Amino acid sequence: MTEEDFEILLVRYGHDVSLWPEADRGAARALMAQSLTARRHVAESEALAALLAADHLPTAPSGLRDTVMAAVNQTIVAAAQTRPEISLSARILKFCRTVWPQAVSFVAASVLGVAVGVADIAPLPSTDQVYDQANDMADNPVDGSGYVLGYDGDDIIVSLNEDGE
Amino acid sequence: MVEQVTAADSEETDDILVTAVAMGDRRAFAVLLDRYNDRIYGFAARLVGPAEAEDAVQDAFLKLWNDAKRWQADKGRFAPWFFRIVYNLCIDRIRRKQPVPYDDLAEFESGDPTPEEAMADSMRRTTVAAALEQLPERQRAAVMLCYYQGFSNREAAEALDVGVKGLEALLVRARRQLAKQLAVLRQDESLV
Repeated sequence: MTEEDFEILLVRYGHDVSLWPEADRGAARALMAQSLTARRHVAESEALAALLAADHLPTAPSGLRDTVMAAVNQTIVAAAQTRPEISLSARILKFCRTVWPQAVSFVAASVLGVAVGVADIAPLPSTDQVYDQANDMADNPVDGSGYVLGYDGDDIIVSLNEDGE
Repeated sequence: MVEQVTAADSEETDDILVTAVAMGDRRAFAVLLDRYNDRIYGFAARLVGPAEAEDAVQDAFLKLWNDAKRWQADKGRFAPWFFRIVYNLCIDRIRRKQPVPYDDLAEFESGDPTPEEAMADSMRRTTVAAALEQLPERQRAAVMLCYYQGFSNREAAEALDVGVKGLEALLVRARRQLAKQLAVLRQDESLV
């Protein structure tokens, strides 16, 4: 154990070497037996500890506690003022103000979508209408290549011309 | 009033109290204030002088109120964490301003000693304080935490944000310098 090691152990375990861990105690005592410097370190450490133990730190001024508490209360009040309490009606109003443009857009888009859908999916002609149309066509040649004979519900029946085309 | 609860009235641990403070509990804050007001004021006064110490203490407690949620129980005791806040606030003040002479410390008295005892006590405290003032601030803080606040070396290292070996090196250097400065004191038996 060097004198430097001994100094480190002094600040780690204190000046009473008998309280040091057993592993270090023997080497420390051996060093103290032969080193005046080591013994001086112990004496200085002991005197310093006694002097500091007798010293009293200044205590806080009497008003400091109240000052701190007042400062914290002020912080709490300031925080509350930056986040004012909002009434339920005000919250609803705020919500509506925030949401109404989106709501109007949604309704408009919905109406437009329905309108486009209705226009694109026009109602199919009824069977009677198809028959009427077929009968009208039957009275007239189709491009001179044949005649419309009728309508079987799915297809318009056409009579081909004499060439079988 | 809720603020009038004193530390003596509460058996709650610091850990419980600081957790409550993190949730906005003013009563818990008041208990911690009573428990630590003198301790951190004494620590700060020896680092920055009495006048600056008042501001440092106020700032430290405000920081505790605002940042209590940052304290983590699994990272160690509350006291080293709080003293680190105080230490950092004091260091900021030291860097901004020259330290106040320690002559002012003589005005802080405790008990009712005789005039002779009071004078000797005052001289000793002033001399010790002056000797401490000669130390670099980190060495001074290390001495304050280990000798006055009863911190273990590990806790003091945590408060100063250094390793344990670094803390021990600070204490060795501080002890060497204080031994030189206080050798004069030891020659005068009335002061020791």
